[in-house]
Amino acid sequence: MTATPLLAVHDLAVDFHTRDGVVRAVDGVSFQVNPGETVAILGESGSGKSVTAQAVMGILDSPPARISRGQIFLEGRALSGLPEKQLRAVRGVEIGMIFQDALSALNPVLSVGEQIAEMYRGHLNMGREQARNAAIEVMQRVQIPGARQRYSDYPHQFSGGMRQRIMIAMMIALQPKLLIADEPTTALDVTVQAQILALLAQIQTETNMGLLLITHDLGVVAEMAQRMLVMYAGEVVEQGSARAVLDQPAHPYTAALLRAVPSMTERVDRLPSIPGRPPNPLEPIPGCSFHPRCEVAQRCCSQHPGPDLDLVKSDRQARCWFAQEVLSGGES
Amino acid sequence: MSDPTPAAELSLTGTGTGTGTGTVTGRGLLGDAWLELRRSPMFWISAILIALVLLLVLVPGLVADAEKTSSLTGGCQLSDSLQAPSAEHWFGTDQQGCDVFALTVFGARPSVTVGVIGVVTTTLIGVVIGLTAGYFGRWVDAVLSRIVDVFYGLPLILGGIVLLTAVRLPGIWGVVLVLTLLGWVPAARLVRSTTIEGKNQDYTLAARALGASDGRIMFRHILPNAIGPSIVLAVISLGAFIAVEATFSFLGLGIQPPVFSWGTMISDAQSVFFAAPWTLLFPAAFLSMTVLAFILLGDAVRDALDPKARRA
Repeated sequence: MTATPLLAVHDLAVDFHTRDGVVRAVDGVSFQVNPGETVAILGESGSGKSVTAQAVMGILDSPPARISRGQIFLEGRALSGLPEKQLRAVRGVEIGMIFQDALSALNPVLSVGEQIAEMYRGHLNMGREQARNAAIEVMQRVQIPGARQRYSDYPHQFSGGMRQRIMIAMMIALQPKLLIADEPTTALDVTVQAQILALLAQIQTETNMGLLLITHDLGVVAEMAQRMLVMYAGEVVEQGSARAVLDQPAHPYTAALLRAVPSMTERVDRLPSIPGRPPNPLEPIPGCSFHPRCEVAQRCCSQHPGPDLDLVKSDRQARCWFAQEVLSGGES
Repeated sequence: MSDPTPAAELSLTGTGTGTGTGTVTGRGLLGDAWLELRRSPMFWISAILIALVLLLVLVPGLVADAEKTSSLTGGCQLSDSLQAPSAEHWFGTDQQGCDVFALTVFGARPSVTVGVIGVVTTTLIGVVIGLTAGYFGRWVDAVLSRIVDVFYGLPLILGGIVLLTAVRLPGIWGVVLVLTLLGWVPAARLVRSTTIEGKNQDYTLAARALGASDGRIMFRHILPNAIGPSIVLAVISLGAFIAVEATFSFLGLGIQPPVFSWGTMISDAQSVFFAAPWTLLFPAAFLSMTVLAFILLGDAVRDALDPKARRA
């Protein structure tokens, strides 16, 4: 990582100012994405992974949300603090974002073609005709059959997978350097999911763009990502190469998640689950935020917050006092 | 998935059956709505009715004789007062002996003018204020919403009486002024609420993530979703506005004799309703028919503007 990374996030913290108090949704998150690389952020609902993505995009709903700390760099250029007008020129052009539910992320009263053409008209000031042809071209690139004929169809006339393709077409229309995909396949069934992931991977190899994949699906991470971050209660608890983390977790949370994945070869009656519930962000847990649900927790875990992301191995960091033990436990 | 029509996936021609197949027309929302409207019988019925009303508004002289509406020209004879409908007077005569048919024909212009202009101005003001308040929120919304509340608390009739007594603008323009100043509140509230709803939709967030400007989001993404409900409100207000014109004329603040409208005819007929029901019946029927035609048109247009309601 000697060259400037495509995206660098340093010590990001996001607060939500609610009536019941200030909620820290993201706390001290740092990571990088290089061109052509896929980085996955894995976490359960409420772990702060989507908020991280929205912060990078600069589309946090503020108020109530506010970036209270940290910086975001795109190719070495600080995005945080940039005026809205300049940010607009970055969004959609240099960073694209795919949403989970394409049906609600597409405007129901505009035809899909018009919505894609809008990208060209809004950002490149193309004429109507030119924008339409460009839109049809990008629809063909995401393999929509009969793109020319379907230009003037509306979102509800497409199937779930086709809608997600439209969404992707919109996002890659201006060939962004970075694509953020917020649970791009969660709303789709498994076969369609595989097609969409294959399409994303193909586009990525063609254009060498960086992909930041937000997901709670370990299978998606295993298939797509080179590096991964695991988030819990707004903090990154583990990060490293995706293969290494999945093979040999160093944080008890990651280990517990992996145990909850059904195996193809073994037959079990009941899948193991993680006891307890995700913490309520309004009631911060003293000590390490995972300790009430943790298997290896000791008394010290309830008194001291987890260590800063510790280098456990080369290119592997985890936020746990017992990372080495968890790591070696996985090996046995 | 939630896709209600899996068959839609297969039909590649989409909605454009009226145009050549296989060509990309890119008609847009309004173009598609027009294609849909052309196939709607409700649209044609209402369009024919509205065309007839417009004929009365624009060239009443084609249909009836203007002389029969005024005593000044000798067209009305008191000796003919309150005659029942006959071959000579199709709709009978009123208390002054004027021909109710001619009155009804010539009364269309002020009524429809007040209604249509009132609806257009109130809808425009309502859209601008509602969209601004709903989209920008925070203090903009706080200020505009309080202004809306102030106007909402003002009774239309009472406010109109005060206003018209103060400015002394007789005839239909005074009524139009009152309607414009006091009648935009429901439209503003409706547009504000649909805007707030649209602002929180994923597609608005997506548009922001794509770098769309505020203006583009407002006019390309949020406003088209607010058109449907606004049209429904507009056609409903049309009837109400025509009635308001009648009320002001009845109170002596709107249209003054010798000018008359459906509204003044209806209020004049009240005293003689039992002796001569036709004096009330015919202008009222025309009024209802006009309002009904606009409501039908509004319904058809709203359906055509909603892509999901279309037969694809």
